[in-house]
Amino acid sequence: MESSISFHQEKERQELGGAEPPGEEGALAASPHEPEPPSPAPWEAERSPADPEPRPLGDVPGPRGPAPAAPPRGPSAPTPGSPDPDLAAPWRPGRTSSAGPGLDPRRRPSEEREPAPHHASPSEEASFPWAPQSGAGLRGPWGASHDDSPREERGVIISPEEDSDGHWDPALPEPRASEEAPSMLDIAIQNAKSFLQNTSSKTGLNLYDHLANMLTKILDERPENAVDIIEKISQDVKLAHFSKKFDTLQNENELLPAYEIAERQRALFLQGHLEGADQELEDEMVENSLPNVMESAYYFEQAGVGLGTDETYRIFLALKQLTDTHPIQRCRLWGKILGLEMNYIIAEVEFREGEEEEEVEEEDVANEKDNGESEAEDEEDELPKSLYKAPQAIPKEESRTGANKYIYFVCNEPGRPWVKLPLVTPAQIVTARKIKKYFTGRLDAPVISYPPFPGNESNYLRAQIARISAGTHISPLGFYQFGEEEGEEEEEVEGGRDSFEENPEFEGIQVVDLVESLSNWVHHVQYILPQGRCNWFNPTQKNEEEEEEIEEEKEEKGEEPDYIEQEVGPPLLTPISEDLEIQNIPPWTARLSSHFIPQYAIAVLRSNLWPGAYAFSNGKKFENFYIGWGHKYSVDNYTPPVLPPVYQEYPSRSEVIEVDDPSVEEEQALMAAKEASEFVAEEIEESEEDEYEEEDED
Amino acid sequence: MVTQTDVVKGRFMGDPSHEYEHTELQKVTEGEKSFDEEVVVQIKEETRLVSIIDQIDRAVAIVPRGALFKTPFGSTHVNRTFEGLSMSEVKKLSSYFHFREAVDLKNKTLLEKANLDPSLDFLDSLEYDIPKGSWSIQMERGNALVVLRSLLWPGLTFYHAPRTKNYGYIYVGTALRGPPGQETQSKALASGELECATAGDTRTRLLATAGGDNLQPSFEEDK
Repeated sequence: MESSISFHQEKERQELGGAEPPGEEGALAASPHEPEPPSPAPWEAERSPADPEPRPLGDVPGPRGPAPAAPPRGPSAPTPGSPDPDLAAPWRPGRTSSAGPGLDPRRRPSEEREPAPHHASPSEEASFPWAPQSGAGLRGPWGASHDDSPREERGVIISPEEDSDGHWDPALPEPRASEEAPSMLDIAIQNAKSFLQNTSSKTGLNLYDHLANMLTKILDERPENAVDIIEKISQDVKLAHFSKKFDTLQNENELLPAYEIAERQRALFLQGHLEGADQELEDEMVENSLPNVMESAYYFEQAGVGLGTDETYRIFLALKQLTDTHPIQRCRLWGKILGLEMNYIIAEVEFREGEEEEEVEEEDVANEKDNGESEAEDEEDELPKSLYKAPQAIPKEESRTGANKYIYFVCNEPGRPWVKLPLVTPAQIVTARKIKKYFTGRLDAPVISYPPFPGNESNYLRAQIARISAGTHISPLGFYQFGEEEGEEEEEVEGGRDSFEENPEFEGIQVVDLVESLSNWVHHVQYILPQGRCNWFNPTQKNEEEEEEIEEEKEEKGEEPDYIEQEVGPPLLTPISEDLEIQNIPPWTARLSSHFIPQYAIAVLRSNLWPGAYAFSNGKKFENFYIGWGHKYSVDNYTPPVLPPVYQEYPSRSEVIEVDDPSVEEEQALMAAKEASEFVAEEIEESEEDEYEEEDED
Repeated sequence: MVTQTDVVKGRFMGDPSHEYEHTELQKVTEGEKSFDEEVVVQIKEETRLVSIIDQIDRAVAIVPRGALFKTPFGSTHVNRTFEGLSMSEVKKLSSYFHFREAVDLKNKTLLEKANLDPSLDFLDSLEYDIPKGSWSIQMERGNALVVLRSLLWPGLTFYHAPRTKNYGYIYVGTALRGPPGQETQSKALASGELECATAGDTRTRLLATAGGDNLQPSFEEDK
């Protein structure tokens, strides 16, 4: 094989040597088809017997290797002067890849001779070091077509370089046919090759290179059934063009988070016995506290609000897990608050009577302060006593009342454990009203703001939940009513009635009515007073001991006890038509979910004050939902409040006068003046003494 | 158009033909006298809508890196072989580009430019966005979906399923621009004032000095 190759190569070289001068005539870059009667003849003779063998046409300098697309160009090499009709023969399908090696070197001579017009670029050589099996397939059609009608093809195929060839004469005489058929073939092949090398106008690649790359890859990797995955390979090769090559480190753990969350959520899908005591628990729970989240989601979907079936179902299962593990009377999906790193899914629950866990009571800071002050007064009289009296911290409301009516559980994702949020204090609500921070998603994240927020993110979250609930939880008029036993009318409980119950005789309101008039909806969560509580707490009312103390202090100082006006807010179950507008925008936008099918439509209300709060009702059922960032709407962008002015350290009184330090010049002037006055004083004294002396003398 | 419609604040009405009225003080010179005249400018809601959409697109429309590429001739094409971002890239802000004409590329140092691939990195990346931290990246469903949310225009959400060709963005919101960050408040003010001054008209200027101390909105009128 090798020997025959080299033999042929030598022949070729000889041939080429002779072929150079005549190679110049007529035909161009595709010069392969140049007829050269004398030298080709012996060539042909030799080559025919060597037919079955692959044709190592090449020049030794050429890289050997299978040339997949080389077959079409194969003829180009020998053709300089070697019209070889038999050349067509080896190109019939069935030719082994071993033919390849020769083809490549074959090309060389033609290229060397006419590198410029030759369409092929050196890159081709480099990219065709081999000839894959599939290369044979390529050659097949070419060979066939060439064999069939070289003459016709000659006329038809006009490669770009041949335009200037004046010698193209379809009517060349027959005797030359045999010589030119291969040249025809060569031309055709050259045409084909140049077509393949057309650069794509979009991507700058060309098919020739791409095929070469692809075949290289296949031969390197030798996949099984390459023909089945050839398209994928092609795509991969194209893709490789775009990726940066220098990153060789591969990340092994890429899929782990997906598995993690799947594992966690898989637990949700497991039914039944989570703990041993479940059986009893299930028996006890007569009424299922689990809300029908999917049904609400279905209605909200009609309004265009929701999380998607997938996520909602997982949340549903997570809620089920929550109700299974905690003694919960009532549970509701409150909504979802988005955060920067993670989101919060919030469930509003009401524990069963008496089953609630006690929380560690926070010490009343105000009491301590008062005590501390009185002690200080006794011990150290000398230091000026600060007149600052911290305003008494307003105590938080008891659980199950007011802003703490419900307990809230949050989780970042369904599958993760539910975390209970602490009760909210009025101070937190008051401060939350003044700041606007995005949630990060971590409950223990600090909230750094001005004014400083007393607590971390879980407290801020709880405060925002309280505000949103108070502002946007609404129900159709009549759904809730005040209990019969509740609140004698005479006794005005501070803050109004604070409990309600479902109206068993609620008959529903027409959906159309719900949309038309906002007075058909009422708030069923108490309004939070500016103080931060729902039920007014009078800070001047203290327990008796304190009262006495403080009254004494106040009497000493001569201050009058503060009169703080009781703050009032709209009572429970006020219609939302009473809500204030924001700069000419109505606080709620109501619409029917469908104008086309009003009989099955639902009424949807969207809050404009808290973007993200929605409520729907189909007349009988209703539900509230929140999904958003957790901030109130404000027309202007948020600006933090102004810092308070710096306190005076102590008032300027007669004993202590505050003046600026004298500057150096002033001091020197003063010194000079002083000296001058001293001098004068001395003089006067002397003169006085003189006078006295004089007088004495007299 | 942006400056014109920016004067209208507040929510959209929902009716494209709604007209907002905005009174401006314009200096009118008649002969030798010049005085301020109140001009009521009518701005249609659809104009405002168009302008807001354009602003949002310009500011926060994003595409993942590799989804578009640029030919040496300058034209941009969709990359048909884009197979999605890999997991290591998906959490980085630098793998996402603004879908608008690049403004920042020239300012990069040569060192940075050396690392760029000119066919792929021809748009501004999100990494150097001002204000910093105005994008929130979250993974949903384990690692099956990455969601970017803009804080500059809250309501703009971009999603992408890694290793697939799916990506897209959508804006659902109240067209309220998010608050600028602390660092940029002063810049915003400076440019705003500049705008007024160079416009040539005398208008009421809202001067708000920001920066943490002494925040006081004050009104000044120029003559």
